[in-house]
Amino acid sequence: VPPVGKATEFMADLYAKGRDALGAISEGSAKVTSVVDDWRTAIDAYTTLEEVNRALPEMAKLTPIVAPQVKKFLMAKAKALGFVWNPGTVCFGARAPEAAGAVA
Amino acid sequence: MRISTTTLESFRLFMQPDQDWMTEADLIASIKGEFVPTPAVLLGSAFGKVLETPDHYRTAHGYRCGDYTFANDVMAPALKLMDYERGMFEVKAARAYGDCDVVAVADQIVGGHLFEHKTTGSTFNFEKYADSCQWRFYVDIFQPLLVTYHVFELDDHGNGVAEIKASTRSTCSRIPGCIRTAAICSASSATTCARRGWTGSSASGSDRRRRWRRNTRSRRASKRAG
Repeated sequence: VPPVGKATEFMADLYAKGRDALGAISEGSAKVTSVVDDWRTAIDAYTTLEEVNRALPEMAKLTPIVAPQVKKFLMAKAKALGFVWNPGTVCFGARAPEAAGAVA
Repeated sequence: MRISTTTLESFRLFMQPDQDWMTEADLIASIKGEFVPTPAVLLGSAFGKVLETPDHYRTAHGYRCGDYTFANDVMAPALKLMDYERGMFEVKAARAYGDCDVVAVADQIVGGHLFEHKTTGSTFNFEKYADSCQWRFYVDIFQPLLVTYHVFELDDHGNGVAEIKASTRSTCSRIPGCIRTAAICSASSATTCARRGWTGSSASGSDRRRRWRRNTRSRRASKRAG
């Protein structure tokens, strides 16, 4: 903080820095939203087990803020399609016929 | 071992020198998931559910969740703060800290902005949220651009008809360098605490910390010897 007598532009500089920082945050957030939206659109169109499983390695490459959001979409979609997570094979599998029948 | 940020925050609060409202039994119950919710917690939980899916709890004159009702004019300002179009609720992620997996569930993420919705029966206290290890873990695990706490001061007057007395918005952001260290220390301490169990319910705060340090020293010594 400069001496008060010389601080003629201090507040203006501070304001400009704050505005730039907020601008950068808004821009960054918009980019994240856009990536998440692209994934949402893609996942919405999945219909097969292969498509769902093919997304898994791609999801691992996403940033920490994007990945959990996309994962949530994917889990919901897989569930809606009747696929179940197999921790042993670390991928989705088709629901066993008897289990599917029990649910139906 | 997996542990939630909520449990870690309970542990941090328990270790505060001046805390006298949480007993060791409460902490152990929290770690074991046997926590018995108070009416204030139930009210906060009902409010959170309505915030997340208001349509699900819609009634003719407002919202109802469990034993609690929220009038239209009570909920309107809170619902306005939510972004239902782009936002995603209850987003879960985990990260390993040493041999402990810390699990974090964000109340809402909108793009790169993470939101936590908190309720309190008393007045807003900035330090309570700023000191919390929860947002520090969120910053490290999700790496959001910002973390914002929406804190709602609720009162149901004991009759289940809730009102929001005030709401406050408080934002935290990443502090390079110091977050991960703090998170690792916190996770490691709490995990060890959970593993070893915690005994002696009458111990004071300073006794607890003294015993904690003694146990840690002895554990390290046995590790070196073994």
